[in-house]
Amino acid sequence: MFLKSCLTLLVAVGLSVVYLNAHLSRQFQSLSWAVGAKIYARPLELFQGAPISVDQTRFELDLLNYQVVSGRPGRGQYQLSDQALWIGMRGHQFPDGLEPDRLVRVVFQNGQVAVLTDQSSTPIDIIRFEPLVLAQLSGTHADREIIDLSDLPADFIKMLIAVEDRAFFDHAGISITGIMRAAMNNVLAGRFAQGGSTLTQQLVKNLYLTRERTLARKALEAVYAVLMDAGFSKERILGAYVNEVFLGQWGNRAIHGFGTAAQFYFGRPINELSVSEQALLIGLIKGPSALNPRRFPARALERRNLVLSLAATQGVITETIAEVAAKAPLSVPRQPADRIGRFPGYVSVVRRELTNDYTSQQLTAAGLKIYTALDPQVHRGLLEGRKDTLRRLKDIGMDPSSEAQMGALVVDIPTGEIQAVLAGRDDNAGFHRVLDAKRQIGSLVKPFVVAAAIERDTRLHAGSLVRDEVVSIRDGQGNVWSPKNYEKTEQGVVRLENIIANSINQATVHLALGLGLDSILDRLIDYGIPVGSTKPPATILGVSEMSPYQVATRYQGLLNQGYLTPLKSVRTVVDDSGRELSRRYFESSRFMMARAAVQVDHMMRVGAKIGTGRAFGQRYGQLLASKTGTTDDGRDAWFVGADGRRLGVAWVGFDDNRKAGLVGSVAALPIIAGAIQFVQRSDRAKTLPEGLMYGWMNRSGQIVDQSCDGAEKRPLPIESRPAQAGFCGDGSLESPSGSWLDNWFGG
Amino acid sequence: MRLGLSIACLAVMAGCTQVPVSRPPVVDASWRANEDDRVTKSPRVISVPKPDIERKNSERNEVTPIEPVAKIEPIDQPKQQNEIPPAVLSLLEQADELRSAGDLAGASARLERAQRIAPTEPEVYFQLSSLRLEQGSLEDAVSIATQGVDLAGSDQAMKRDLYTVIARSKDALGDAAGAAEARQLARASES
Repeated sequence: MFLKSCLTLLVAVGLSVVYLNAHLSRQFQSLSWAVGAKIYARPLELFQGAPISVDQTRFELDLLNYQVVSGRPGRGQYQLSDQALWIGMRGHQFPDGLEPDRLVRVVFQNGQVAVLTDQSSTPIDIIRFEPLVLAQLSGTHADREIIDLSDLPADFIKMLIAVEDRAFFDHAGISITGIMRAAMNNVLAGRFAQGGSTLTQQLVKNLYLTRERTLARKALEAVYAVLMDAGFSKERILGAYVNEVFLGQWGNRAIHGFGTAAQFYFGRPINELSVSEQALLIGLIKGPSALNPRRFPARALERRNLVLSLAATQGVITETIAEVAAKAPLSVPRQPADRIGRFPGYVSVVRRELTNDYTSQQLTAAGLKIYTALDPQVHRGLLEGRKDTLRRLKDIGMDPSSEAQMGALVVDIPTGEIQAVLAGRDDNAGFHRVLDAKRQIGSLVKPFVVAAAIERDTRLHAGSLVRDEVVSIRDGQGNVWSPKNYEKTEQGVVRLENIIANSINQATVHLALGLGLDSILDRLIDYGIPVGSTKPPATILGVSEMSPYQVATRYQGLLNQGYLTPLKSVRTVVDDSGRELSRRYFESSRFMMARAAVQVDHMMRVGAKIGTGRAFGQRYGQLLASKTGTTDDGRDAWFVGADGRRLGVAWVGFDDNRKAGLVGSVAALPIIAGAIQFVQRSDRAKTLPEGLMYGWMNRSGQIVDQSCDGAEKRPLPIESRPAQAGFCGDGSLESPSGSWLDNWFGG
Repeated sequence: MRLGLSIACLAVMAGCTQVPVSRPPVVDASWRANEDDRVTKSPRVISVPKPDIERKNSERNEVTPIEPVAKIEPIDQPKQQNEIPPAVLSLLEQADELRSAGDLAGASARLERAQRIAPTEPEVYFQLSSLRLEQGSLEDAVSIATQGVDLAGSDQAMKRDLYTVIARSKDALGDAAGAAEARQLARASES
């Protein structure tokens, strides 16, 4: 009977082990870290003539956590000498080729790269730095920087084993002496307090078991560990361990593996860490929370130094190295040293775009690399601009707790690439105001009304005169609409450019009426401005509702000589084998006559110089373009600003559309002015497309001789009759260029 | 002075001093002239010269090589008109090689990189538009070439080539009238 029981038990245990073994093998065999999609910023590209200063370059290197050194820089380091940098570039496998690790020398002059060479002074055409990682998406182990054992520094494994599991290469998965020692201590303590786990046991526990501390779990862990040791090589087990070990927590983000931890704590690849930094990570295994170097630096330091002395005692590192390393400061920044999670507004735009352009099957593939156009310098500028606006809102007496919201984006005009996005007044914006807040655009519509007018009558130009008087329109429903100027004054007659530069409502209405309200509205529809089915006349003063993103799409075309290029944040997506998924090529289409677009562009330059956007132009003293927008009762404040390359759109208001008393030039302008503060700004282009030439006009909009006092240079239609030599105008508002107005209004 | 012409000049004359290059001109085989396309009878020279360290004068005796260092000019020295930065030249050249090898996507990636660096350089738009033509994106080809025309200013040779891309794209689109008009403009640019 007893024998039978014993046999049954033995068979049962045997069967369990067989089952467990099969289960374990299957699971461990298939253990692959399905890394989530990685989203990258644009890489910094340097070449002779690149518009970037030494300080801006250092900002980028600091973002990538390059270390400043005084000697010859190694990988991930740089040396600064006045206006030159020696940089040990980290290579990166880009979708279109490998950028190798290499040492380069960059000399700067006047805010540009003057010389770019390799270490033997041979000129290099162009280099690309590894792009900043903005975020990691989805995937079972979304947040891991998976490494191979060969990625680890030479003594790292030795130090790890010396501290955590001295007998790792000799034991069979469990260490009897370790268990005995732990058992003794547990008996003495009267409870289950100590593990005595081998690395194998720790791995088993992390991979398959719960965290509870019971004897049953401990027993199962031991069985698994023995089975694992029997079934797999030590290297295989170690390879899994270094990627699985738990090393910290940040909010809901769990830090697993040394590769991830190196980025999280130091912002650098594991193979660039110093001995003291390596020791800190190894020390964390014992208690990632209790030894968290950000919260308990003293404890973490003590533990690190213990690791160093253990390693020295066992001869893994020399006493001298240990002593020097023990004197090093912790050097762990307060925030995670990687930048993951810091660009939520931009990443939402990327997600939206990916969902539209790629299939869900493509996107769930493991290890996707998503290369975007995010420009960290512009992003930093937007954050500063946001601070500035919040400060100003407080200055004008707006209760800081009133939660006025905002949304802003910056676009590279020629390529349509989105460089930075702010989704709200803080980074935890659930509602994405750039993509989803559709608000009245107010005066932002005026450049399109003027462009439509010029397309209708190509004789029009900046100096054409337009009535600025009280106007009333009866709409289809019999309502009388009688818009007022913002300044509540009428000037009688204004130049066409003042409609944009000074944002004059009544003149805008007169212009549209003169050319045919319906045809102007039809053209606005072509431009992509939403116009209601009843075609309300108030559309020409901006009752259309658009998101900041939509506004940016239209202004991109307007400021790009009339060529519309779809906005995009994603440059390309590759899978883990480096194969490029479908990608959006650069495309463009004409949506506005170049001569109309460029003339309106010039009117916006007057706006940025002396008009409603003068605070923008004056801040930089450069040739910029701008348009402000403010809706009834200041519910919406808008600003569009551009330099030679970039276009920024900002909106400020309340989510519930309440009266806010905001003004575009006060509330929204600083965001865009801030956005371009850290980049090299360029002037708006002066070249003119076919059909336009430069001429001069006076205050009354008359085409005059270049030599006249106060003559202003403007693009004019080539059909315009040039002024006679010495003609400086006759002071009359009935100039030759303005006389055609009489045809419309009967004098 | 326009790039293609500079190279042609180099190819013809020894010691052309306008562009410091030691690189032989490369003829782009992918640019196939239509029989009725008078303007493209002579194959277009598109690749771009640059000082090449590997190739010394042993390869091209007729052109005096310039030391690589000579490429680096002080920034404050006024730039030659229409001078294309070496970085852009290098990318155009890579694009050209990829295109010859049939890697049109790779070529496009290089050209778009070049466009980011030099967004007002008509040569980039010429290359991009002829690539789109080859890829069969005909409307894009027309639009990008038209954009190039606007950027070309007074560069008549560039305009001629861009109008030719437009004409061939319109042919392929079945727009005979549009193609004829573009050809007319190409011829007008020639004179």
